[in-house]
Amino acid sequence: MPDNSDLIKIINGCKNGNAECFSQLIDIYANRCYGYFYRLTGNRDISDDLLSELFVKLVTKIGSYKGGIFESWLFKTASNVFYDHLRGKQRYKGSLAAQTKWLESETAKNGARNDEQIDKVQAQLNKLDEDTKELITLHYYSQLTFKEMAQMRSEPIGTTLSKLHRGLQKLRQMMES
Amino acid sequence: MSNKNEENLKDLFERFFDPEQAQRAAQDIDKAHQLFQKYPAPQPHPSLIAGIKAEVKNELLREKTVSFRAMIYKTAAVAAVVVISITIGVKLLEKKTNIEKTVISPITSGTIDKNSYFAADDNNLEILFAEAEQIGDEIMALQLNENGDNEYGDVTELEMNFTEIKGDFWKG
Repeated sequence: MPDNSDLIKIINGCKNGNAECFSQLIDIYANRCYGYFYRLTGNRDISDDLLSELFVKLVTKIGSYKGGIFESWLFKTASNVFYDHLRGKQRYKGSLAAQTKWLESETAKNGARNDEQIDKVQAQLNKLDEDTKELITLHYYSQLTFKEMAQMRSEPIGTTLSKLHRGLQKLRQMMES
Repeated sequence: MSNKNEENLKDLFERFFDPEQAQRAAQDIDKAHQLFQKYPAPQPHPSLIAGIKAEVKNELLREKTVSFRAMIYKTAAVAAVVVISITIGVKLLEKKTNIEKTVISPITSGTIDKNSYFAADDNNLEILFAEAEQIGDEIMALQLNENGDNEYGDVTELEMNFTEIKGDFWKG
């Protein structure tokens, strides 16, 4: 992870359309973003597509980053990419509920095919509602502070904290049972 | 994956929960973190990363082409606006000059040039005009009594001229 001044240089390079800077940015954030997408979808193929879409989107979107916490901006964009994907599937499948069920069934099918691909955390995460799942995943992969997360989600920090705590408590209970 | 705000968790929770609850919440979050570390998400395949980098490069090229094209279009549009503005400006200037020319020679009684007004007219009218002028001069001369005692003879002659002109005029 580069220090802040190096990161600013890389971001400025990206803003100027420097391919090498984009390459560095991908190296820095690809793993975390991939983990975020994978924990949300439970599917490697979809995560591959979403990761690719995110970085390609950054080429045109990076100009709209006007400073502040870069991770916050990046994961907000990642979150939008994920929800756009969900909405696209919703149009395709008919409803968000159908999409969630479809995603769950795909995850279950993948799990049945290859148990190693779906770990225990993923299996339990899929049982949580979308919002809680996204909050936990965001907290772990974005490494944002609670204040930054609350700002990103446009809600009071107390709400973010209690939602996350309840979600993690539930996840832990499910893992232990 | 370590979290940069891990150390402040307890302090943060204490702002919203009582100390016992805050401690439990911080412990829950710690344990969840341990779970995520125990079961890490898979990493993206290196070929995926290479593919994304290539795709980004292509997108950058496309973006540059698009912005270059946009710049050309903008330049062309600006050039067109400038040319149109100049054309309109020149036309307006020409119009203004014509108006000024007209204003320079206003129509006043003193500047009426009989030739310009009657040049295109019938020759008879010109003759009439000359005769009328002549009569006018004669009347002036009469008024000033330039012809001495023969004023009655002059008046008669003048009347005869008038009658002649009147006759010529109605004859066309």
